[in-house]
Amino acid sequence: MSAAISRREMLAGLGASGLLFPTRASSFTAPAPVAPVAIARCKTYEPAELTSVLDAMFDKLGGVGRLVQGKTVAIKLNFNGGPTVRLGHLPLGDTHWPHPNLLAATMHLMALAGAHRVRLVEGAAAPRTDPFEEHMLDANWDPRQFLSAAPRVEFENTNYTNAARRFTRLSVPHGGLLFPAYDVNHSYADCDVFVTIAKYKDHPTTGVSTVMKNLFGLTPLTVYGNGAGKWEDNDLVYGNDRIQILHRGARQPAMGALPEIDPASPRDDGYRVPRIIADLTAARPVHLAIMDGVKTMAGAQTPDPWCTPVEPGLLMAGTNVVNTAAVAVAAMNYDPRAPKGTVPFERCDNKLLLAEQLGVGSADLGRIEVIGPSIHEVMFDFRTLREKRRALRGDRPFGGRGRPPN
Amino acid sequence: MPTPASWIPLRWPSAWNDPVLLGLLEGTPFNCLAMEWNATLAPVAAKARAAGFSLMAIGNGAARAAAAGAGIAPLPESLVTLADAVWPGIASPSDGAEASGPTANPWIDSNGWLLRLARVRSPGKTVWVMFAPPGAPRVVLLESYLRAIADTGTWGGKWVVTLDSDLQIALARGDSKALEAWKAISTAVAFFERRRVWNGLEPLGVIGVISDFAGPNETTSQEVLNLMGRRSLAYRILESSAAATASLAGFKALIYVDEGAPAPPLRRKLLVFANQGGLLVVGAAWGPREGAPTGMEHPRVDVRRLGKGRLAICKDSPPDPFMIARDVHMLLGRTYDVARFFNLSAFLSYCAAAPDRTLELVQIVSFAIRFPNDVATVWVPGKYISARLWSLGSQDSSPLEMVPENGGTSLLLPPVPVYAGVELLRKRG
Repeated sequence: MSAAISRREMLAGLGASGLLFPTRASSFTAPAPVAPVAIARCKTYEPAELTSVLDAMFDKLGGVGRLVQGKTVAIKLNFNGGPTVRLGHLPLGDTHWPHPNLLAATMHLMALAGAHRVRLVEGAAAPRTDPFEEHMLDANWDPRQFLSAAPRVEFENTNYTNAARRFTRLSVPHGGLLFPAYDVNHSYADCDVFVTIAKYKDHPTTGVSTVMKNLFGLTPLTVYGNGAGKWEDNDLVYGNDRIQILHRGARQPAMGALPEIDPASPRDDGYRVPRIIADLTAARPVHLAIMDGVKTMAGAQTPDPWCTPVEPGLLMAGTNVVNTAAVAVAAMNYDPRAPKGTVPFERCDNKLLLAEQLGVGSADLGRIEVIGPSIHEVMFDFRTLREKRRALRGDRPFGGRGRPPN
Repeated sequence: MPTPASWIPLRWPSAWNDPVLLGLLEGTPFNCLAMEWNATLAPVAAKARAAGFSLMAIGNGAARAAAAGAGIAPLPESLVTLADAVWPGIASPSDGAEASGPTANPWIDSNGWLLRLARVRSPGKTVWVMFAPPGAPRVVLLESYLRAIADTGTWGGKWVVTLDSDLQIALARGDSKALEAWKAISTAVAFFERRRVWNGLEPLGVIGVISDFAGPNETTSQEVLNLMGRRSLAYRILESSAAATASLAGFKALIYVDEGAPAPPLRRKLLVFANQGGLLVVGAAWGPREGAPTGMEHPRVDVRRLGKGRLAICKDSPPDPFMIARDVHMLLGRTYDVARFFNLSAFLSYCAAAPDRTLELVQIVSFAIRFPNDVATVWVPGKYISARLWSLGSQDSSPLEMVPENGGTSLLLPPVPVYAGVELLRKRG
């Protein structure tokens, strides 16, 4: 971590000089941190296979006990979209939510390694009085699976302040790219170990969605959602996205959260959302990133008729979220250092490079040690699927409810 | 002559005074014409009677009196008629904007809950539902008619099929598209007539709603039924007059939010239910607050531990029915859902079963207009030997793929543009 601190100090100096964030930050900065990323093939979500594969991956990263023994662990799930929306008939864990068996296997291994407490955290678009477990049941998950996976398991809907009564302010080191700080549920601060677990998918706004994009969901809907501030007197969340405040910048956050740094900055979500994600990776360091690539989908973050279910059959894990995301993006047959305007960042800035500039981690594959099969060996070609969609849809490779031709 | 229970009614358009138009009924299931009488209908009535149709008088007092003079009887008392029904569909206020609740779900107008209540209040009787299509400027699509038929048939009622003026005119002049629509409407009506055996199934659900559903309690209690249905929360209806002696076996939660405290026998029975492990949700007028606080902070109910169960007392009087439906669902938990639905947005469902549970039935009425083409999945907690899908108007059912999921069964449905009925068979014993 010394490199990161050193880099942050350097960035602070540059910020003061007005030279912050030129287009090629690496040209003048110390290298961003790197840590090994483990890759393993895993063909099914059978608990025995998952546990065995995960255990071996964790061993290669130095052992999960080193991270979690005696600690409180918060695992950020990646529940995007509503719990009752499926791609075709497929359960959510086969397409766009991390699979529940993978989550349970992770918790089980953490429990065996001596984790004191495991808290499952997510900003679920559900009313405050709805237990978070009910959101899982709505998706046809069984929360008992998680309760039996580890001794002390808690669930927290991070859209609300809950027992803490107030949100916790996470400042972005050295000022942030879009916001100087983010107000979040206490669970994101009151943990010793922070884990992000997510699938790799295409994403219409930021090109790709992996373990990094998951952090966008740290922002509570009651502060940053479309209905933020309108429903403070009761327990309803209005809407389930952050389009107005975070994507478009049409207004500032609610409930006393700090406004963005420069209200005159572009209102383009391809500019804003990658910066917010990069900010959050810096403000809330990730200790372990787990990428679920056993089954997933290509074409979007949430199901639409243009998405394709795919089965790459692999898992990844790393202790640096940017490194892990970079390897995941490369394994999708995309360039993790691609500039804006090129695949997969056709209309957005590259959030990996932004996070790299913040000193969170490197997106340079040449510097990241991959343990296990090579990226080339496990590559699943999301790029070709993307190009096929583009050929069918012109300049709209994502989104919408139109149907692919038969 | 068919008996009133087997009448299949059509509201004969008052403007159709040419007996030739009776030809439209050939090949359809309609055997009863409900007429708002005027003298010009006499030739139609004569020919219809000769053809074996039953004729019934509807309309205001004057119209019924005039009909009586022409020998047309009023509706018999053996029929229950619901005249305060709505045209089923996504509610469209006069300003054209879709109405929606606080969760941004569109508001659905349906008669499902009303039919269920009527059938509880009048067991064994046939229930007719009277409602008319919306007038101009709204155009009534065929799908809207089919939805209206499904919204009545699913809950065991009979709609007195009423045609809008555009369709009446088009049919009268023999318009081919109108005739196609008429055939589809007739086929849909016939579909539910052939499935009348489903009306003998018993509603599933572990939540009971107890009320007299009348007077000062009418609005709240009936809206609770309406809004529980909207969130696919299966319920059973218990009239308060009978609840004190009714069996509460199989219930996990009971709702009693009528104004005023329940009669002592009912109150005692409800307390026993809670003490034995049930969830009892009551109104603010419940009376003495038995049990001990749980410490649960809830904005709308005071949740108390009572024996092995819980007593939840509403803080507001009257309580918000939308919140009652939601809160009881969350206090009880989705663990007790009788079905879960995926890729369906604006829809209602009704789950019923044979007393021995060898046959279960899941019916879905979809009101979605914009995106009705997604395939749907229904998850049910049981395991079955077969699942068969009935589509609206189909002559026969088709096998439905079942996939084990989360300890139960996922049923893989095709898109449900208007209606789906799924029969699930269990092994005996």
